[in-house]
Amino acid sequence: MAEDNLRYLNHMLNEAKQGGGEDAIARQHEKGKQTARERLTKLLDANSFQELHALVTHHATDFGLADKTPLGDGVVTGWGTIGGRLVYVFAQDFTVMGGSLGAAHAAKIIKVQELALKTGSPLIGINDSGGARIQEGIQSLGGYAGIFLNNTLASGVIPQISVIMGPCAGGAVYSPALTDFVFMVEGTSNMFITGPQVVKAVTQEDVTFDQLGGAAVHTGKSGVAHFIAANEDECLAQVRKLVGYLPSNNLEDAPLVAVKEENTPDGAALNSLVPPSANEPYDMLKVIDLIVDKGSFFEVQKAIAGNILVGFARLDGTVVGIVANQPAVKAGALDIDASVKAARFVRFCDAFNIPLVTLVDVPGFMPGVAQEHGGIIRQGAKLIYAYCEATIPKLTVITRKAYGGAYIVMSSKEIRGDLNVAWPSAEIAVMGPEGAVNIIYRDQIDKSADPAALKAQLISEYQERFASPYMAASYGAIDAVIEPSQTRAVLINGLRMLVNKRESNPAKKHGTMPL
Amino acid sequence: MSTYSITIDGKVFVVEVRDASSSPAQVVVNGVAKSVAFSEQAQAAAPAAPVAAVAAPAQPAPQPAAPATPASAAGGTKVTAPMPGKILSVTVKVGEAVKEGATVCTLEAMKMEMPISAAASGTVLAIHVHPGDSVAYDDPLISIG
Repeated sequence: MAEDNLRYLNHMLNEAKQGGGEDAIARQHEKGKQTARERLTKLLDANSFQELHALVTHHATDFGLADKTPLGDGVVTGWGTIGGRLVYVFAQDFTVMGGSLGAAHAAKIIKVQELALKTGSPLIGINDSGGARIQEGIQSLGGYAGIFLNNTLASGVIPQISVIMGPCAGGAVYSPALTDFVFMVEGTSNMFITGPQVVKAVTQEDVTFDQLGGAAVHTGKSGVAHFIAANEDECLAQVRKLVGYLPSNNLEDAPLVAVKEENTPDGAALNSLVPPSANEPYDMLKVIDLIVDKGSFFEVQKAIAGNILVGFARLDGTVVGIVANQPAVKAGALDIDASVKAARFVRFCDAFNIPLVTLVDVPGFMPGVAQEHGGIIRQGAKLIYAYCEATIPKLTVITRKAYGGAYIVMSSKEIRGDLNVAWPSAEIAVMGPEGAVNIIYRDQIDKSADPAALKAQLISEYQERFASPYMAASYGAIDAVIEPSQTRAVLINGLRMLVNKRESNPAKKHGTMPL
Repeated sequence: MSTYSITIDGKVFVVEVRDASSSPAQVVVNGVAKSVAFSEQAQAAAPAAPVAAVAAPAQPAPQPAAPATPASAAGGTKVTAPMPGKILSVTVKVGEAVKEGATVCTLEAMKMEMPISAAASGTVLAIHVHPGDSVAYDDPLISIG
C-alpha cells in the first residue's frame, strides 16, 4: 500500500513536470523559447527551487474545460535562491493552455506574492502567457486584479522583477508595469494593450508585433522595459546580476561585497578627462568607470534617454545608485525622457536604502516646443520631487556645468544633498556666460562702439567670477572643491560618514507627486 | 518645405521642394511649379541631384554645385540629427568612404559641439546640410550607402 501511495505521488508529480507535453515543449523550443521549469533552473541556484502548488488544477467547467485540467494550471511557482539569497518566483508555462490565466493560475501567483511580501524577499515573475483564460470569464479578470493589488502593496517593500519571455498582452501587461524592473528578450517577447489586428481595425495602422511592442520598442522608446537581452539565457543571467545589487526588502541594506585590490580603479586619468573647452563633450561613462569598483557599473534603461545615465555600482563594495548627466548625448540636457528615467531610479534607490551618487554636468532643461508641449514642466518636476523627498545618503559631484534649474534638480545641497563636491572644472551659475552677459549687459553692449569686443570681455569676466566652483564654495553651496583623481576616496569616505544617516519626511499618508 | 539655391553652369536655380518624401514630388523652380520623380540610386557613388536634372533639362551633364540634396533623393543609411541644433561643419565629401563611428559632421546644440558619427560604413551618397544650417530633431544630415 505504501508503495502504491508513493508510486501515485510520483506519477502525479511527473505529470505536473511535463507541462503541456512533448509536442507543446518542442514547439516552444522551436521558437527559441524554454519551458517555465527550464527557465527557473537557469535563474535560480542549482537545486534550490522548491515548488508550491504543483498539483493545483482549475475547477472551471464551461466550454469543455472540465475535461482539461492540467496539473499546476499553467504556472510554476515557489522559491529558491540567487547567490544564496532567498527569492520567490513564478513562471507562466506557455505549453499549458497557452499559459492562459484563470482563477487557479492567478491564485498561485497571488499566494507567492503574499509569501514574498510577508517574508521580505524579492519576487521574480516570468511572463509567457496568451492572456486571460476566456472560458473562465470574470474569474480570470478577478485574478489579474488580485495580482495588481499585490504588486502595488509590495511596491517599495520588496524588489519586484518582471521577465517577459513571450506574449504579454492586454490586462496582463499591467502586472509587469507595476513592478520595479522589466526584462525583455529580443524577438520572442511582446507587450501591448491590444495587438496588431485590433490596432489595424481601430486606427488603420499596419504594424508588426515587434514594431508595436517588441523588446527594442519598450527599452528604447516607450520606457516600459529596462533591460533587453539577445536570448533567454542572457536575460536570466542579467536578472541574477541585478538581484546581486538589491537588498531583500526595504528594511535591509544591499549585500556588501569585499573588493579585491585589483578592482580598485586608478582615478589619475580623471584629472585630465574634462576637456578644456566647455563646448566639447566627453563620455561620462568613463568618469563612472574610473570612480566605482572596476566593472561594477550595471546600467539600467541603457537604451533610452542616453543624456542621463542611471544604474547600480559598488564603491568599496557598498552598492550605490548612480545618476549622471551624459554630456556626449544631447549635451547632457534634461529632457522629458531623461527626467522620468532618473526620477524613477532615484525613487527606487530611496525606497530600498541605496545611497545615491549624482554626477553633474548639465547645461539645463531641454528647450523646444515638443518638450514644452510634452510637459517638461510636469515631467521635470518628477525628478525634483524624487530628489527632494529622498532621505538616503545623497552624494553629488559636479564635474562641469551646473546651470540654473538643472543645478537645483541634480541633488544640490539646497535639496538636502549630504555631501556636495565639485571639480575645479565646475561652472556653477544661474546660466552659461554668453546668455548671462546678453541679459545683464544688453544695453551697454548695444551702445558700445565695439559690441563684439565688449561682449567678449564681459563674457570672460563673468566666466572668471561665476563660471567656476569658487563662488558656490564661498557660499557653502558645495562642501569642497576636490582634485578629480580623489573623487573615489572622497565618496567612499562620505558613504562611511553617512552610514548612520537619519532623516525623515513629515508624517503623511503619501505625497502627491505630479504624475 | 525646403528651399535650395542650385548653381548649374553659372546659372542659379532657386528650388523649393514641397514634400520630398513622395514621388513624384511637387517642386517650384525659379517660380515655376514642376513635378519631379525620384528614383533610388543607392549604388551610385555621387548621384546627380535629380532636382537639378529636371530644373535644367537642356544643360548637358548637370553637376550640382551645392552639395545639399533633398534627403529622399539619396538611398542608403541616413545619419540624422540627434537633437535640434546648428551644423557647425561637415567633415566628409560626397563619394568619400567612411567607417561606422567616424565623425561626419559637427552639430552645435545647447552650447555643445557634438561630433555626429556615421551610422554605417560605406560611401557618402549625399550631404543634406551646409555649415550654418539649423536642423530639427531627426532631420537627415548625411546619406551613406
